[in-house]
Amino acid sequence: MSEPKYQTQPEFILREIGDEAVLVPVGAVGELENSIINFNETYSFIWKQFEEPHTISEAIENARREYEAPEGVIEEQVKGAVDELIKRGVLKAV
Amino acid sequence: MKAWAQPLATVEKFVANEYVAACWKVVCDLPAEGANRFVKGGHDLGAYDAIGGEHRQGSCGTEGHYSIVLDENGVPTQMIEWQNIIDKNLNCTLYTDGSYTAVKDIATVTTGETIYWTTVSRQAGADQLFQHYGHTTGTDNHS
Repeated sequence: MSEPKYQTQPEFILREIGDEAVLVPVGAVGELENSIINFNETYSFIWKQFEEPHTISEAIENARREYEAPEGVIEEQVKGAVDELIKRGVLKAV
Repeated sequence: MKAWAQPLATVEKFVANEYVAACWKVVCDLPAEGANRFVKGGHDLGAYDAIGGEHRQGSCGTEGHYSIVLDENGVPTQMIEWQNIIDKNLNCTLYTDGSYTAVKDIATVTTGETIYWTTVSRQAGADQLFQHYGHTTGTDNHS
């Protein structure tokens, strides 16, 4: 069975301001309405992996090419971040 | 290659300002449909003017046609005639009595009080002064 692909939802817009990035929910998005979400660089990087549909494995692979970290850290933390984004409805399977 | 940092996201929630303006309703107590209109400069119940403007139950005689807007402390700040038939919303000037000579500080108005006020409405190319009297009703109508 092939791995599912995920994509960012149009109700969320990423805005980069200098070195910072904020995710701005627009429209009716449930618990995140009337909020802004501040991303650090790596969270922003993860977000961008899913602007087009990608699997989690693809996102991890891209992160490993871009960043260095002890074995297993990138994989664990990318999965954690993606799980959170899915739980909040920011990423959805396509 | 760059050093990986744990992905971090922080949510900042905006809380809407909960204050909304409260209003009192005001209704003009002049007689019903076809009632006479005060004309400029007079406290005269007896005559229609040449334009035929008059107090009507369907407009100034309708509760809610006017509102007194309250600030966050419940103090009146402004009285408005909503959607006048000719103009849009009009500001009202309050007076202490039916002579319409001494202006009343709107902040001193209380609910249930009989108040006297004027509005100026441009009709037939000229500003016409309308004089009314009526009473306020306290309400939880929020705008």
